[in-house]
Amino acid sequence: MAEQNPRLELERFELREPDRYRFELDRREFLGAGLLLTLFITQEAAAQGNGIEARLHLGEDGTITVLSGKIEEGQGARTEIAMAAAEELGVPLARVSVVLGDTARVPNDGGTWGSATTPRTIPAVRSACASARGILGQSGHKSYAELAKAGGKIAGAVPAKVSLQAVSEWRILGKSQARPGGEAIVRGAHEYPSDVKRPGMLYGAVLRAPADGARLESVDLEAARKLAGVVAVRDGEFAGCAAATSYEARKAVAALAASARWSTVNAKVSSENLYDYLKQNPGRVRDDVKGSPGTAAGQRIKGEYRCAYIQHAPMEPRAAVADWENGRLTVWTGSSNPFGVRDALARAFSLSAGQVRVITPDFGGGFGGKHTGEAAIEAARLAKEAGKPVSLRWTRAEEFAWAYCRPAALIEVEAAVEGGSITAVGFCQLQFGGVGAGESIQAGEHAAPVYRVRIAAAAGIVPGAGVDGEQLRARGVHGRTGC
Amino acid sequence: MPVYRFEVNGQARSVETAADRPLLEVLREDLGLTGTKYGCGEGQCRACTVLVDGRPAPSCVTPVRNVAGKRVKTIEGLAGDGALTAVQRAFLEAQAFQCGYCTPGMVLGATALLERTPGPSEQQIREGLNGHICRCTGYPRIVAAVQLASRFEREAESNG
Repeated sequence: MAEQNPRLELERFELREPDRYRFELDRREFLGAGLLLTLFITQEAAAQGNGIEARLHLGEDGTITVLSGKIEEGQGARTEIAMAAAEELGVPLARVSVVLGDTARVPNDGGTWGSATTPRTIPAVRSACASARGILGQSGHKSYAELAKAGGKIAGAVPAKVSLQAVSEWRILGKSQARPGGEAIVRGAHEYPSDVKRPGMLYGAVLRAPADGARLESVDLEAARKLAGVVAVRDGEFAGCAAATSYEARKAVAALAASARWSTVNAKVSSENLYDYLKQNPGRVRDDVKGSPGTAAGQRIKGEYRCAYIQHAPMEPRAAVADWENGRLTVWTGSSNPFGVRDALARAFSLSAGQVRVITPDFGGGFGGKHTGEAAIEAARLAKEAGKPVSLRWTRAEEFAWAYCRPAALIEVEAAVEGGSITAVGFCQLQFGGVGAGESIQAGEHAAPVYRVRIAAAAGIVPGAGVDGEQLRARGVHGRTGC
Repeated sequence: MPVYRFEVNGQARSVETAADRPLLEVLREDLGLTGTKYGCGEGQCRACTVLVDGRPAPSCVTPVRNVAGKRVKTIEGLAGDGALTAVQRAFLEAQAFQCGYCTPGMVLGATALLERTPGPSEQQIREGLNGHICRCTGYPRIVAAVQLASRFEREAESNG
């Protein structure tokens, strides 16, 4: 629904999973979407403004809140953002609290990936906070609380040139600092997405296909509905249940599974023939050749390297709690891409992005594997049916079978060496999913006078790795190879 | 459905539930104790570790009927609202967590380890916590935290 903001740079290697579900709409919902799009754009524009107020809130009670669209999954963004803010504001670290990944409150800083928080977000936080410090200085007030009480405003655009604290003057940055909220973690009190509880909440479970690509032909919802307190729904390829406990929800889904009929799938690929399959089905191929590396003189050295499909395996599997209220949807979930999940929810339910709020509690690891919002969409579909909030926590088995993988790849490298010089280089990288081929393909000319570089992106064969070459490009599905 | 009575963090509890329901889900969904984490559902990652009569047990594969009449301690029961235990203080001081999702299981595993092996060697810590998975791979700090906890306990003893 939303165009990508050109000011936000997507990591080119990023895997972005195609929408998994197409829910049916009723006509009223369909007609509603266009009108609200306008509101969404306006809200979006405001949220992405570079005004200080989008980044920083000063309370009259002395609280200082820094806002960012980045998220915390154990990599330390919360600590680092608090450090940068405290440094530039000139206050102790403990005075700063940080709100992350709440799409209704924070500016869209893009997804948390590509190691971009430090080079992109931290400078934005520092500039906004340094501007605030400047405003405080000019106001004559002694503290931010006093300024806030006096009705002073920390607002307006962050000037292009802001005077930042000199590195030599740093009190907080550049030194190890304890992670904010650490005590809640050791007490077991930190609320992860799996732990979020809402009044009247049910627990959900989803009917999974017996194989990737199998299609649900029929299912008997009554088999589940006759169990006490069970809500069951089928919508296109989606079917699932919600109940008072996850135990009952699983039992209900087992009842659905017993009656479900699936179209069969003929698997073409297995672990045994994965790399042969890649060679035979390289997909979209890009070649860059100079000279004839095959006939270059010298001793030849060859190597073949294989990267398996690998799960990201965060400790906390995908989890989401969805709560509908008057047609508006709030979802608590663990994703590195809260605004992307918000937009995916809006697409799935034909809402404007302004009707969807995604809140991202600090979650239990992602490792590049939680850029998508499958659990959020599934929880929301169940909650919509139930008319109550639903918590959906993927099992480990679901996480391993249905979460997207780091794509598999085959890399063949060959070089010819004569008289201590490399005379020719051959480099062939075949992989499922796209690749940031630009750098690799241009590397040839630096490596040797004669070279052949081939980069190929095949259609993915496991969930999340794409469907075919065209769709890979159209949907921007990429996967990182990096063995 | 049958009713099971057991003690949780020093309080008598009774739960009417299916006999084969995992203790983990009873703790989290019925008793509101979400500090205990689901990681694998197969007793393979120890994120769900609780103490049953003082011994670490993977609550995800412990049917609730197995704890009838027993004492269960979860992460919430270590310090309650009061001062942190030596192990909790040590994990905090050593910053022995990143995402922190494995921490409750680690803390309870370490608590049981120090109980049965006071003053453990590094090797004993590594063996004692073997099976507790930290995907953020913060193991060196976790080992350091257990060593620090051991020191805290020794100091408390010599002062007391």
